Amino acid sequence: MATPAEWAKAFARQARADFETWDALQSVSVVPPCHELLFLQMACEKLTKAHLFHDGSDSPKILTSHAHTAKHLPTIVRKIMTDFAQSPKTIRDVQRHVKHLAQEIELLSPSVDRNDQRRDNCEYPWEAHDGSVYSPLDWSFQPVHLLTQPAGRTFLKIVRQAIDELA
Amino acid sequence: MTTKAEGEARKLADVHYNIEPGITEIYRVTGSAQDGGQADEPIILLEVNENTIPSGIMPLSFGPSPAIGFEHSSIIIEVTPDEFESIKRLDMPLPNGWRLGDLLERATSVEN
Repeated sequence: MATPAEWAKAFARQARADFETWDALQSVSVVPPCHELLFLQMACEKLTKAHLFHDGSDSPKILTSHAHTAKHLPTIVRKIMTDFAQSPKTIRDVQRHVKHLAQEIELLSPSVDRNDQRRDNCEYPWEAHDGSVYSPLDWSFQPVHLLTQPAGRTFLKIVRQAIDELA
Repeated sequence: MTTKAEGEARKLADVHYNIEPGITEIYRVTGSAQDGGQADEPIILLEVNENTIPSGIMPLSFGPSPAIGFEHSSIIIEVTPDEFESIKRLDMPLPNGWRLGDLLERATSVEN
């Protein structure tokens, strides 16, 4: 039976591949934002799962759920920033942004809709409450804007660092 | 838990109280191995956070950070106040034979 460390490393390696794919797609103009964000969402989800695999007891729950990012990614970011001896004020400032960003990134998954209030996702078309059908190709996703802010760029560096520490 | 681990647990709690305003209480969590005070046991903290979302008990593992004085690995369990009440009533038991330990109270001085 695989050890927790083996699971964690496997998830981290896959997260790194997802993150590098997201990064590579930034310079490919024909790739729509929804496809780029799909890889960032998957990278964040797998990074979180890598940290959750401290033992094998909850493996099925960890493997099958997509709703770990909003809750746990800010805790991971807090740890990395603490390791880099950032001031408490800096960490608090970044954390406010990271919490918002992590919630929005989690919502990019089609299986997370916050009790049917957020059907927008980066993979499948959805029907809005007014009956209109939307495609991810035409949608303006909040993370695209959040990531361009200074704290968003800090967030990306930290996610990369966190992945590298485990992969 | 060894004295060194106790010091690191206290320091970790201070850092987290200072960074995360939603944290109301932080408790140490002890396990059977920790009762023996083994030096390589992780520090386990249960953080009650009124700004988090309920998800049950999902321990997050982190490696040691010797460069900033944390030589032990750590495990963080973040729960809502309601979830914490369930843990105290044993309606939501901690995994792996872990038990709720001492409250690490918020320090009076705050670093900015």
